[in-house]
Amino acid sequence: MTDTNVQATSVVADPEIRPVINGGQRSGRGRTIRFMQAVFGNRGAAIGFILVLTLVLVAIFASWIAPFDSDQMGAGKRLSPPDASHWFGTDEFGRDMFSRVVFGARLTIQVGVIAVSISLTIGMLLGLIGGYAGGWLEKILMRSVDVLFSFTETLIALAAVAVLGPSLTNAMIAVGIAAIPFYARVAYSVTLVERNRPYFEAAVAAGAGHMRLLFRHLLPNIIPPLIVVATLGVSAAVLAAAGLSFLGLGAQPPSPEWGAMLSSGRDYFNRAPWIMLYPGLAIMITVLAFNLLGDGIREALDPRQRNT
Amino acid sequence: MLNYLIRRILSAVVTIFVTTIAVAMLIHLVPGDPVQIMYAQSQGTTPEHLEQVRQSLGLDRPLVEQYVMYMQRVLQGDLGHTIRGEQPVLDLLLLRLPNTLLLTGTALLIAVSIGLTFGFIAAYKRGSWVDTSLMTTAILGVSMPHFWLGLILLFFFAVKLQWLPVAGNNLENLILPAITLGVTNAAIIARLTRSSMIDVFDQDFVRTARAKGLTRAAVLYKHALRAGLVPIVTMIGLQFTYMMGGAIVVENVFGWNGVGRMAIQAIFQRDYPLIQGFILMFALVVVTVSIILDIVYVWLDPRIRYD
Amino acid sequence: MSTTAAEMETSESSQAEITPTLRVSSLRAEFRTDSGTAIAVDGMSYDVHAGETLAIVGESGSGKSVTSLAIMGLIPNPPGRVTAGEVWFENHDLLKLSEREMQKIRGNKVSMIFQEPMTSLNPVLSIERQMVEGIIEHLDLSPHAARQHALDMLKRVHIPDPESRLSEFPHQLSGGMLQRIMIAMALSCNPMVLLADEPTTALDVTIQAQILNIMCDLRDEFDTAIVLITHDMGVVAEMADRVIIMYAGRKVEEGTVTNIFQNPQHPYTRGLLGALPKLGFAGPVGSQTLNEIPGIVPALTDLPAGCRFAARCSYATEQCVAQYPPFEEKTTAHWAACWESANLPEGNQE
Repeated sequence: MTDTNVQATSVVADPEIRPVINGGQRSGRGRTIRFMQAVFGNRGAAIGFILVLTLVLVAIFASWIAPFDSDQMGAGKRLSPPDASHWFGTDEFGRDMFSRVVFGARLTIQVGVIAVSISLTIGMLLGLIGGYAGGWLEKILMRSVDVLFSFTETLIALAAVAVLGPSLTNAMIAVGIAAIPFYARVAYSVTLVERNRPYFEAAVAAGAGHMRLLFRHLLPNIIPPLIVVATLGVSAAVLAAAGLSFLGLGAQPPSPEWGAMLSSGRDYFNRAPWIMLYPGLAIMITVLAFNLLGDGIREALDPRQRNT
Repeated sequence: MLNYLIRRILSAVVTIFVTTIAVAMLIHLVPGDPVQIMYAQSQGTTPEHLEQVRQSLGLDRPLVEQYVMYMQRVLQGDLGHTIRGEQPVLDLLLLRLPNTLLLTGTALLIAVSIGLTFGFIAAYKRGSWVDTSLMTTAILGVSMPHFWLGLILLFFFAVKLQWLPVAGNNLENLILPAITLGVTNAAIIARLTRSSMIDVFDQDFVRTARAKGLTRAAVLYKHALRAGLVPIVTMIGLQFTYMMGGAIVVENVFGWNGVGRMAIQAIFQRDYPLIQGFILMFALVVVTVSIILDIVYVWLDPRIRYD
Repeated sequence: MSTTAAEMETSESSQAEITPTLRVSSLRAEFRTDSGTAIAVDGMSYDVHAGETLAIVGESGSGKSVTSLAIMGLIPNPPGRVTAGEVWFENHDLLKLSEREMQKIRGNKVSMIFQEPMTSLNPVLSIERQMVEGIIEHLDLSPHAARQHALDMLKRVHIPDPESRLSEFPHQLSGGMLQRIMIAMALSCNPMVLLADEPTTALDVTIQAQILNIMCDLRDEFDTAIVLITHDMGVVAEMADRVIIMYAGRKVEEGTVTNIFQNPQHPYTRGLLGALPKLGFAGPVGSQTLNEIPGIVPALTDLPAGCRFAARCSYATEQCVAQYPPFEEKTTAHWAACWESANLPEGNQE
């Protein structure tokens, strides 16, 4: 929600100006290009994209970038402050904090991708079926989804970890499960819109079967908006998983997961504040990156700005 | 109006019903034998003892019967006993719930006052540098993990400056956790307030109010803010639940003695009766808050009041 | 080019014997958009006198609403801005007044009513509160007296059972009822000028006639000057004394209602009249749209050098495309901006 977009919105909302802007209709390809322009024309989204790209590159090339192994004890003196050889200092076992933070990027990307894949896949199917089926199935399905949604993701994730037991894998699954209601609601509302479009009614009239209607007609059309939502979902997933690890319910020591590093570093933070500074900063930047990117994409897709 | 309230209360009852089913069945979702897992950390439990626990929890009966038994107990106010210490779950929860509500309530007050003010200013000054800097701060706040902000505040105010104690349960110990929880949520409220106020500012009736020659303050507060309150209150209601979730983490950072801290300990100890009780209590709080909100709506929105 | 129109306007009004209630001269308003600066109003000038109804006619985007918002100082800024011109009212240029000074004029001496009665009232406040606040602000009455005054105004716009209407909320009332309330509200401080922006467009045809009648009666009673913005020539025939036709931000024709209807000098005006089923000064008020003129209004961010209507005009010549026509007096008290008006065929339609 940057300045330029708000102005554009209020111009479009002015009935005197609207027809002028609507002058030309554009093609599908033109729309894609305009969308990309809108995303990258947005300063925040561009910064977000660069940060996400950097994070992915750091994760891929972690073993090249990190001067030490993440678990190598005694890479330096214990609890030594940041200097030329240990940029982020060392922790209570003399491990190099910079290397640990770099390797932590791998875990974070993993958490984000796996957790969001779980919630996206299951949520999409639930919403799709709910929106397509109608009747009692829709009522029961969406009512349950609403109930779960009202409990917040933190509580659902905690309940899931309580059932599964603490570990990084379980934390990913728990965070994934926790966000299912959110994606199901989005998928449901998109499905309801798609169901009423002419192409779908035509397919029904042509006698297409349930499977065909669901997976050949509806599914491809509800995926794009869900992908957008998923970009914002990554930041929530990363935040939640780091929180679980911080509480000791996710990644366990000596894993270089950022939340877990904060958790074990807190005993030393009055002597060695850098132990809690860098992992926290890393989490914040990652979350910020996906928030900026997600906001940018959402604004670019805002129906009020597409002038339809 | 009455219809509306009845509908909302029915829906709350459905929510509680679905929750009780989920909570009662929770223990069966545990991979492996839950009773063995529960007592894995305890020394000297005999197979006979485990069998006895299994029977007392009713785990050997059919699922429907288990649920009926569970509900009978819950309706009588019996949420079972903790695995460790054999204490009544309800008493433990009720002892600590006020602490959590105090923390969340204080944080909500902070979040709403900061978020509403800055969101409103940003919307009014939209496009200006004021708006840009407020919203940049807000997105940083939204991206800030609670637990990290908590650690940073602890470091500065408790360790370096020594203005406030590191942990404890006095009112002065409330300050840091409430700020931690409040500030990050203030950022969310500011963003949402800004976008809903911008929607309101673009409405025809705001233009009408200006065309009447009302003062700027009257247009902003009597017309725009008053109309924007309905969506903003919805949002604040959602925020309360969200902050109850956040409180679980924050309580653990600051050692604040609320239900969240107890719940995490219960998860570590695999104390399922306590975990079940916690979830049920959380659901009740969520539902109560949403009913209070519904009543506030009736008061705020004449479209509901008269339909 | 805009100076031509303005000069013509000034020379015309200097001959007028009585000072107009409201004089707009050479008004220019711009909007910043993603595709450049849109010139929404480009050199607009007019006078309106007490007891007179001036109709301003044009399609969406012709600048007719923006002109009224500019007079009221209500153009959303950003993105909009008045960049030139004057608005003279009671020896003041309204464009130079401070926001506080404007607040004393708005809703008091100059009032405005809008197109959408359903969205123009605040949904969460009662009718009473919304009516009374303006009265208290401007007339300095006690709350009780203000309420009485509001009741009187509701009676004047023929609202049945005004007592109970006052305690109701907008969503409980129909569009026609709400527009009457808007009119009652706008006239409650006995304004000298009423700017009515498409007041009947959103209403049913039967309700339209009632609303127009109410406006006529109140105009005659209080000697109000009415600027009626519309795209409906039927409404013009019913209400107006004089007519201004706007196209793409400029005046293209101006004259008495008789002149305009019987002897239109601009092909665009003929197009508008052609959209009417049947000419008649007392004809039924219809909801004719202007879509029957082929083509679209040029983008206000990229206006052509020549006549802005040329691309849609069947009489356009090379000169029309190259040069903007001067706004000149074609017959007595009847102006138009068209190179070809002398060559138009007989009759009043396309």
